[in-house]
Amino acid sequence: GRVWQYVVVAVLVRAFLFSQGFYEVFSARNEVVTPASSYKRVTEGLFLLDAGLDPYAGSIYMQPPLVLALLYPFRSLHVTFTYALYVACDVIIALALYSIAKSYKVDKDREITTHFPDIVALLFLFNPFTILNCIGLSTTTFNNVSVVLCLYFAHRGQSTLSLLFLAMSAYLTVYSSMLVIPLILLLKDKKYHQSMSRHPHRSISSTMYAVLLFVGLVGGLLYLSSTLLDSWHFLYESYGVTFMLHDLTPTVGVFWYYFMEIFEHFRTFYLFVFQYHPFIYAIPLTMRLNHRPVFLFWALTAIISVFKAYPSVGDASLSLGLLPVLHSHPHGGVFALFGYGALVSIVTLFCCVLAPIFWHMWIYAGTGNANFYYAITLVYTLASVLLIVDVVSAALKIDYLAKHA
Amino acid sequence: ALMTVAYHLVLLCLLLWTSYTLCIPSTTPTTLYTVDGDFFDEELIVRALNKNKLLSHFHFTNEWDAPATPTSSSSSSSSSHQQHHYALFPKPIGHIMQQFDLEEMHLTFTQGRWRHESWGEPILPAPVGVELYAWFSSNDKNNNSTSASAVDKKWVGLTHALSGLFCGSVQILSNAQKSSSSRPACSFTSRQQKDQSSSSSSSFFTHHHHLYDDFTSKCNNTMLRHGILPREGACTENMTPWTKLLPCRGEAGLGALLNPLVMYDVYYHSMGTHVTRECIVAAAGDSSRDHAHHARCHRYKYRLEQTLTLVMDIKSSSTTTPSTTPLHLVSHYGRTKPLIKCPLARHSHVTFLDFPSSSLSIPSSSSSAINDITPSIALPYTTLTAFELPLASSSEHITFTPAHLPERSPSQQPPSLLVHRHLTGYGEERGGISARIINRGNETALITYYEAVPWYLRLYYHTLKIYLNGSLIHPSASSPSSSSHPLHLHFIPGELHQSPSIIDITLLLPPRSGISLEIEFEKAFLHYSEHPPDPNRGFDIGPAIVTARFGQGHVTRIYTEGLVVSLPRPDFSMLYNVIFLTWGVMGFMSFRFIFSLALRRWKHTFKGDSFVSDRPIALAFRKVQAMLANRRRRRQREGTQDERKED
Repeated sequence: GRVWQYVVVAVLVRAFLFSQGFYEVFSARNEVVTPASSYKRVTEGLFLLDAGLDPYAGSIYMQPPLVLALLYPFRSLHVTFTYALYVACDVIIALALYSIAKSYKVDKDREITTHFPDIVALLFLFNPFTILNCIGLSTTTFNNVSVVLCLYFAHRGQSTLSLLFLAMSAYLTVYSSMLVIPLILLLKDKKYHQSMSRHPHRSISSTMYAVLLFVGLVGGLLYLSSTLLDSWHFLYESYGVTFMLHDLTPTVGVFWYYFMEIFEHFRTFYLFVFQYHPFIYAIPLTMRLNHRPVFLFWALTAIISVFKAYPSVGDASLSLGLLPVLHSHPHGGVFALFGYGALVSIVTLFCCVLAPIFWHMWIYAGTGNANFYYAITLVYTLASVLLIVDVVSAALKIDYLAKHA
Repeated sequence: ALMTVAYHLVLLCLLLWTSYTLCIPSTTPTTLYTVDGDFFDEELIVRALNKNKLLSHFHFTNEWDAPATPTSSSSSSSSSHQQHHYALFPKPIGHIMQQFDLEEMHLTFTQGRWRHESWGEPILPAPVGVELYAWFSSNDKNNNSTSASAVDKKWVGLTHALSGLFCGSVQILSNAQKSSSSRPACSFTSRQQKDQSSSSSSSFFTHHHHLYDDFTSKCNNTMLRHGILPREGACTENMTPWTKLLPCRGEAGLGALLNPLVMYDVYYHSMGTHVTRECIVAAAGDSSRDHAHHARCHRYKYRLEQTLTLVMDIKSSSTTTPSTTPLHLVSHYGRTKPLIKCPLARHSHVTFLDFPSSSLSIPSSSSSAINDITPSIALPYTTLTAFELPLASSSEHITFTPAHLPERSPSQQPPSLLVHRHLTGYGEERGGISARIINRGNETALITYYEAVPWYLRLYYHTLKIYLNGSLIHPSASSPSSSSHPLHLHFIPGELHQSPSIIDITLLLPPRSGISLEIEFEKAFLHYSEHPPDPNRGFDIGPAIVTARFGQGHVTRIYTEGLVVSLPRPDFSMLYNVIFLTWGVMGFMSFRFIFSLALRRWKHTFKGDSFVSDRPIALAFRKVQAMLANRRRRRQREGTQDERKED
């Protein structure tokens, strides 16, 4: 199909960018690479491991140990293999998105063509954020693969595999654990559609089973990590250090400048408030969108990508990649009901142009200061929030129309 | 009781004697310095660097034989050092040595960089700022007091005590957040280790590789703590307490030359306090040391060496040509009275190096046999003229003629080792450190490069590259961790807010060759309160320490240049604004939006065929819109009516 043509072109584009040394350019950008997703820090962790030291020594490497285990075989190989791994991840995400979109029955009433699944893949593969994330070798890619595969297997009704990939994502970033709510709702939905019969008490037991399986899988991954390193100190060195935000390197998020400027005696309080803040949204959104698990899944993914401690454009590329899937959803068609569509696109473009300029003015030229860059990250956050608000209100409007019109 | 009375009597006599001799220096207290076997020596070494510059090195040695305390733990020492009797030895130093159970301690306050290229090798190398390193006692049977944490606790105490004693900011060295205190494994050798190595290895450089392995395996200074404060300025408030440690203060002897107004108007000023403790095991007479068995020490021999090195211009009437009229030596230090000996000193001499005899005139009363006097420290120079100071004051001065001084000091050789270090990269995001070590001599040197980089520079060890004469030796192509050239790498990554990152490299540097090191780092973004009061100046990074060991046990230590690193700064006036703006976006814009969305009823917003806003402003806007539309419609209707009328 056409999707394969897109994949081939996307691979060629990435191969060209890698061959021209764009890794050096993109991996130096703090919007692309954060302390929690830097490939350079993984290299340092691998070097320390090879030198017989603790990979977490020095608090440079702060990702879970299995990332280290994944990239361990690549350290002695030629760098092309690492590039190939990242490109393969992008291709897997695109194909998974393609088949999710294809699994939705084509709605003749809405202007959804049969090519729409191809376009979903196209929009992901050629999203500049995805390309930046891939060429910058950000390990966010692995989280994105897990989240998308989790959704893919949920659509195919394979609950165990789906929960396994969600557990992997939760293992990589703790925030993903709240995606278990929409996933269980989605799996229940699928089961209901498949069996065409409703057993309320069985659904409660299956929910319990899914939650226990999820917790068990995460525990299994943590246990595997501890056996690899022979100690449990990685829990603090990866999750604890991310939670405590010792590294104040600027990202596109709201954390860095706030904790650079906050008074020392308020730090702990606000740390807890900021870290729990994204989890708060799960409650009202679940109450309002429990019959639309895919929308809930998207909304929570987008909230994580804005309000996590170290967000990057790679996180945004995941939520932007999932957005066309929502449009192709049988109860979708969100784009038609967007209120801030133009505003969000223009503001995002504005941020993309001004962020590197302000960064240069602050860090290199000395003609601007930190406030410039801070203002841009605030605007970016605002644009992302407006997009979430738009999508959620579009979903609610569609519900209202279905009921009343 | 009789013993106590006798003891007090002796004490009283000594007190009287001391005050008496201090008041009337013309009497001859020949027996004073032999009391308890203690003595005090003072020495001044003056060296002509060229026609305009003089190097002066003051060296005061104070030795004290003290009985060992029953247990040298810090808990009981407060009561135990009352038994000691301090005659010449300064009491605060004795207290510090006993309180913190020190084997050896070196503290230097330095201003200005030693210029190896033009001044040759220094008598005592010291970095700019404050350097403190100390060995704590490992002889204690009690393991608790020799563990790393116990030593760290003593180190904190020591830095605080010294900062109180010398009115410096030495206590910052024990502040893990700010300083780069560490434990160099191979760079420093204590006197104890020196004694051992000189007795054991005589055929030093016959088998390079064997020696190398032997050396690197021996590197283990667990009881050593070392720290440098690169930014601390040495000044008179540090000098005054230091002078007070001298038995004659600044009143007599060479101490009288210490004029603070002159001492700091110099190219190089380095004031050191070095204390060592020697353990004497057996009874009196037999002073053999026993390190291996950790036998209990019966007595300790404390040795305090106070040094002051100055490089300063020769003050003459004309600035362009050196004066031909003889100058008084004392006038060089801003004093007028002729030099006399400190009455409490056993020896008091002045040594002139690189002074042609034509340029020097020594008063007849003071000259003693030149050959009899040997300087108390090993000097890397040969030509010297030395004499003992007179005890009685005389009107005669030691004088020298600047015009007769050599153009360039004859004994000065260009140093065989050259070390430089600099920063690479630009911007406030990332950078690198690059260092070069060049061996110009004809001898292979065993080089130890030690660097403690503060935690706010995030070192990437995998970017370390070492080149020997331009060819890469680390990381080697064959295997990433090992190297073809014998190389001993030791890394300790620094912990955030806690400890510095350590690079410790030992390698053999062949003659007439050089190595260069490169490593990359990232600059941390700090909390606003972690920046210094003048954040735009940047952070001072202490020098790297290069220790070179040549054949015949010759060791030199060179401190590289310090670095100033500019870190990215937040806006220090934005505290409240950032709290307000961030919460504006997070609380008002996102939290409120999404929660109000969850509570929203669409009944009021769905008008016929599309969704409209139900906000007050939107309602008002719609009302105005409707009004305008009505008016337009009415006007149109009127228009058509008029047309009809015309028709």
